[in-house]
Amino acid sequence: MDIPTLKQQLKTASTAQVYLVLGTQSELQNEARQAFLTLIPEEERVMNVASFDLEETPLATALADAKAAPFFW
Amino acid sequence: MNGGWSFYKNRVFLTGSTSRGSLKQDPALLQDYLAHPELNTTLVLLAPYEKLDGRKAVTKALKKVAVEVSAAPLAERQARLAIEQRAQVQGFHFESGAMDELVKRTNADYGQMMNYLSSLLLYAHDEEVITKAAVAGLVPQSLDENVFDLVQAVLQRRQGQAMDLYQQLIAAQQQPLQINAVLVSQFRLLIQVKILAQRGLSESTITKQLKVHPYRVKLALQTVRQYQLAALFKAQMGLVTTEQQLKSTTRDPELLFQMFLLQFSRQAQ
Repeated sequence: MDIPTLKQQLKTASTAQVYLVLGTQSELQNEARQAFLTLIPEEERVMNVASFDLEETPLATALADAKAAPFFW
Repeated sequence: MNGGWSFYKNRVFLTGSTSRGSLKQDPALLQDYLAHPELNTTLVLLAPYEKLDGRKAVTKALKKVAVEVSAAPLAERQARLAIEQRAQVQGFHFESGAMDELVKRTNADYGQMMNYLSSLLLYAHDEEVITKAAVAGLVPQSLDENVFDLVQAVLQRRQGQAMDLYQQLIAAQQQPLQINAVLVSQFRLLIQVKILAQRGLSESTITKQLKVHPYRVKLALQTVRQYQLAALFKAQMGLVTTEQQLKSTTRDPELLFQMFLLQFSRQAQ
């Protein structure tokens, strides 16, 4: 799907467990990232959003965070 | 707690290389996760690549589980549409010709168009109309596009305008050798496009074959329709001669360019 469709779906449908945003246009990568971020209330972002650069972070560390129980329940 | 809330809870963004280089760090780990994704977590993989290696097991697993969102570069038409909508949402619209100018100056690159849109919107704040003049004033032309205008002037044998454009480029601190090199490469593209078009290839096939920006091919096709292959070759040869003289003599570059113009116009007549 394209980014507008994604935005639409995030508004209406429930979120999927895994998304893959694939493509070289950095502006679009950014828009997708923003679309996901807006789903999470500002005050919960610190606790409930984790961001990793896999050029630098081992996959094990990143996935451990993904598996951890959410902070706000 | 209703379902609407639960998926909010623990979102993990994985940024950066997720294919090639870094998935090699241990793809099995990601594969494990994909087999048993954490219920309360949404995992978002941002992969700034053209495509992932479809032969790898982890890619197959990913394609099966993940919802794929495309961030591939937009074609010219989609880019125009997206920019126009973005402006519309904020109550602005493009004057006729203004979008064409923006596309021309950014080579139809969506990222660049978005970049300049914010300053265009700011400039048009009161009128809420983005004018062609605003685009011309706020979005700089790259050397390639300036040279493109120069190529047109040369081909149409408008010598006065060609000299004007050349002097503007020099005034903008461009090196004569570099201008000449870009001219040569533009004419090379025109020749390639002309030959391939004569063989009956479509615009998209030519783009693939030459591996250049689709928008450049589109413009080149429009240009070459009006000119003979022989004229393009003559211009190319003339420019190569100019390059040789730029490198081997101390004559004034502007004079050399003028001589090229005169010779080309005379030959072509």
